[in-house]
Amino acid sequence: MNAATPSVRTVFAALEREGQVAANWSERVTAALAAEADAPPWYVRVLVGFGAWLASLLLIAFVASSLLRSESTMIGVGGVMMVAALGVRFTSSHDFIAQATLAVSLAGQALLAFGLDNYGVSTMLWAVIGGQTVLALAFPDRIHRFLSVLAAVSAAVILMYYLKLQAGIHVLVLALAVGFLWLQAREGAFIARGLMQSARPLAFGLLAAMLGCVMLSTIYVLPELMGCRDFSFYPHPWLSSLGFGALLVLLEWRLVNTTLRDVPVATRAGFIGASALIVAISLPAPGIAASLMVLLAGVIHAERLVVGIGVGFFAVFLAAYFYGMEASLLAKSATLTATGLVVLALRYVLMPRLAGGQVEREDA
Amino acid sequence: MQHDRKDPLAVTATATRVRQIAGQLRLDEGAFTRALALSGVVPDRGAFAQATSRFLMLAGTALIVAGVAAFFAFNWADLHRLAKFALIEGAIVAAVLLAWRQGLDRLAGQAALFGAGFLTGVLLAIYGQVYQTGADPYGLFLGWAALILGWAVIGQQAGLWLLLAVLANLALVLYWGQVLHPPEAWIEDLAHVFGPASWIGYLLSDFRLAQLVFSLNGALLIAWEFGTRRGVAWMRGRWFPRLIALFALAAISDAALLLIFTSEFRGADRLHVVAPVLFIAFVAAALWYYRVVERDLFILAASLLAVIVVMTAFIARLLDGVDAFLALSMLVVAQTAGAAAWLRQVARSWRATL
Repeated sequence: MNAATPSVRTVFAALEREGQVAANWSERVTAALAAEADAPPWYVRVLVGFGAWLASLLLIAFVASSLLRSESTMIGVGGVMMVAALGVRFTSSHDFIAQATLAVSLAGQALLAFGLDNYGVSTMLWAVIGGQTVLALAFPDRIHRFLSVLAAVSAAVILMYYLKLQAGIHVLVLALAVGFLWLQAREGAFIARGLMQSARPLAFGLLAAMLGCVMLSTIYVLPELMGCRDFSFYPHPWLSSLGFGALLVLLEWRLVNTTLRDVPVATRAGFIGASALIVAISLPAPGIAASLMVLLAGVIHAERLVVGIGVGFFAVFLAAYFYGMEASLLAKSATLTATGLVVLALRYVLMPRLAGGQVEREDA
Repeated sequence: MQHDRKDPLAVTATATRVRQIAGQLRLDEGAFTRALALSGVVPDRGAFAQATSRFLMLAGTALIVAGVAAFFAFNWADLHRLAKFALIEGAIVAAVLLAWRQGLDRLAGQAALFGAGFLTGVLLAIYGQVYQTGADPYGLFLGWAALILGWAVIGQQAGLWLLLAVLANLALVLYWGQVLHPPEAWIEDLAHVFGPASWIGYLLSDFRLAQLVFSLNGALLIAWEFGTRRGVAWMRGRWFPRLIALFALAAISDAALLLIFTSEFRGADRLHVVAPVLFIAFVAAALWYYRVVERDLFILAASLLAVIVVMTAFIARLLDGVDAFLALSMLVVAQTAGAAAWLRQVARSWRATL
């Protein structure tokens, strides 16, 4: 970010001078730093999540093969496992307990879903959506909250396709995007209320679910296989692009009125106009607008992980779009090349004005 | 800015730290926003323009290169073959000239050289398309890798080396499948339906090939870390070795799992011990090297994940009966909790010695 990052002491001393924190901040910040140092990075959380998932699969195999004889037993045992895991997790944060309750809860949810399947697919999916929403809010574990959001959205997507309402995917992805941006924008309020540990995994769950849904736009299914001649797996992808484009422009509007407020009006207008042009050219590929939106949200909120997710998703979407079969190679070539040319033109024409000539110098 | 060991508050005010502290202290919204601003993590105009410029340069290059590749993959019949060659060769020459003009130490020059390296493969594909050479695809990837090797050597960028690494892996896997051990015809049919990834996945179900892929990536990783230790400036970034370490770990774990779950388990052939020995040696070396010499928690976490998977599979093979599932589930929980605790302890010990 900026050249010289000050120390924690410097920042909080300045806050004290400005009357933003009480004079006894030193001890509390030291204790908070000790807790921060113990917080695992994202890849360790991935390891823990994978372990919980594997353990829950094995637990499901054990329960299903030894204890269960009917759907009602599955529902009963699954429900008891979930409630027990929730109760035990409230009493302890020890690594082993956290792992075990995560695994037991996931296994319980799966058993419950299998049992409810007997009452119809729609019933089961609605139950998963409702149950996972409750668990995302109630289960005091970051990984569980994240996985619950993913499970709830996955069930919603499956339900949509099951009911042949796939046109609603645009509403879903945009609702997820708005939810993510809202949680990010309200971060300060959540921190003030002591809800940060709950809000962040929910925000990342919504982000991951949204990007996963956008990836569906690269899938092509033969209409004959769906028994419907005009079937489209992700109909009118440009609708999603337009929605992401609108959110991108909103974020840029905020940026030009804060960070870039010293930039000449014409350059600011050009910045927003060029982004709108990129979105317009890449309408058939909604992942491009989505990744730009995520990237900008990460930059505005100083979230390096979100920036990384935006860049990574851009690369993955590009590869998937290239190999997708919905559009012809010639159409893809036109979309990709035209977007690339506009992006480079924007870089060469607009960026030096935006930076006041700093870009070329610092690149060297 | 590094730790002052006597003053725990002398650490840099990163965005993550400011968030964590704000959460613990329950700072109000205004104080949190001000803390972020004071720490300088929210980009100012110059920093924003700089970061955006870099992204636009890389994204624009990637989009154009992908667009050009899609255009030639379309194989437009109306376009004369000489026009095709002129277009792609013109693009390569233009990219190389741009790299030369911009300089290889600048992002624009590096992106242009990477574009030239990628388009070289498109040129070889068009050659095969126009003249119907009938050559095996492994030759395309091998030739492509050979042609861009010089650029990778002078390019001083991880991107071109990653392209080279991917090409070398593909050439090895395809040579195995097309020349040494071609699979049965139905596998070829499967590839037509599910794409080339399914075919490559099938080939990698041969533990001998998995060992070779591991050896290739292991050698690349050692070479890269050697360069890092020698202080080569452009090799300081960690994403390339992390990616190659993941390739190597995946390949050797694949080989070990194949032995555990196939009839070769407890086999009489002494060669069958190679994969487990390589797995143990690589993981042990990685756990030592990335904890003691080149501190890298990401590769340590990946190595432990591989251990959990292989160890669980090994014990699963030895156990029988329904109760085994419960035992394995508890084993996975214990291993994961142990791994997370150990990684936390390692990170703590690193901070103490900064």
